[in-house]
Amino acid sequence: EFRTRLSEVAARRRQDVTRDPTLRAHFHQMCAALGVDPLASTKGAFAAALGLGDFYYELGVQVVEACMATTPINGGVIDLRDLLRLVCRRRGSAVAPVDEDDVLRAIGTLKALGGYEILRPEAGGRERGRTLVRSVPRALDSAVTAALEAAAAASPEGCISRAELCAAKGWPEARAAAALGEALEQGVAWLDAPSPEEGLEARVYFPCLSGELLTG
Amino acid sequence: RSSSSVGRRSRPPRMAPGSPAQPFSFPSHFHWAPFFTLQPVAATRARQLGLWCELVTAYCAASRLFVLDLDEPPEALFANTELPRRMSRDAQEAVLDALAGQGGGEWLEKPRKLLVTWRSAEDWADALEEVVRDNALQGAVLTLEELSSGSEVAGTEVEGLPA
Repeated sequence: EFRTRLSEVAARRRQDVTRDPTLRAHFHQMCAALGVDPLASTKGAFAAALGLGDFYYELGVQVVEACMATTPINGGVIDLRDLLRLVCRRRGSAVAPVDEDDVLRAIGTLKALGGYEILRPEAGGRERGRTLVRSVPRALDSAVTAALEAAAAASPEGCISRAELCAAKGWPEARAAAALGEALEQGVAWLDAPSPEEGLEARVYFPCLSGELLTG
Repeated sequence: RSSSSVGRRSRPPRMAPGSPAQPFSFPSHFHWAPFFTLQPVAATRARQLGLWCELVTAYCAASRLFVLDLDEPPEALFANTELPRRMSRDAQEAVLDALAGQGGGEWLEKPRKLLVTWRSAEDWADALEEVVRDNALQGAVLTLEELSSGSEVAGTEVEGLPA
């Protein structure tokens, strides 16, 4: 019976699967085809054979730690690439490497904590679509999401001024001001308002768009 | 700790007060423009001031700076010329106020002059005790000035300690 064979293979290749992200992805595809969720129960045949339950549990803890450490600055919204980098740093080089898919699967098991939602804001123009992880329970306002998308497209630093937002979205000033104000209120954006002498426009920065600058 | 009766232990090089002995490693948010604007949203401002307090304490410890006087602040601390951005005077006062509030400093002259306690009083007492022992000064009477800048304390951790 195919499923029995699969669990035998799983038991034999346990070390390989926990070590190799590609193999792991392949394994998940097979399980999906069979309608089996290896993470659904740690007592399941596959999870037990592979020790995947432990693997994703540990990864989930590392994800939570990384999110908690960065929430003071980013308000609980982080780019998946930055999260992966932080998690890998926590794991160190002696253990099995993980990739974005692993992190997403681990996040899937964290739903019970509240939050931990995956966001895929629209990319504009040349900007490649990015994946964000919201680790706080409160959902992002649609106006804030729109402002975030505009900021991502407007500058590599992930910042935008009110005027730029109006131009990007074709919004009246009041609407742009409200969206940026809400982003600040929700803690997912910070204000940059240099002194009047410097003659620069005020801008709103989204920490989750700043990439390696803030997460290192 | 060893207390040698023969000669003095070797001294670390004398450091110029006010600037770090080695290039100071600023945190990543120091290179981020919004860090220099006092945030309007209270919750974010609280986090920002927390980060500034950590930075100020670490900077003062690395530079052996005991007093922060906003009329003559260290140039490298409240501004980043690469961005370029600087903390307004109001923002600087908010940082000092936050630091005093969390026990990281004592007001010498509110709101502009703060004694930054980057080391606990107990640790300073230990350091003083070590200098006294190393120099066999137990039982001697020393002025506060001798204690902070006499020849025995030159190059030790205790040098420059304000009264």
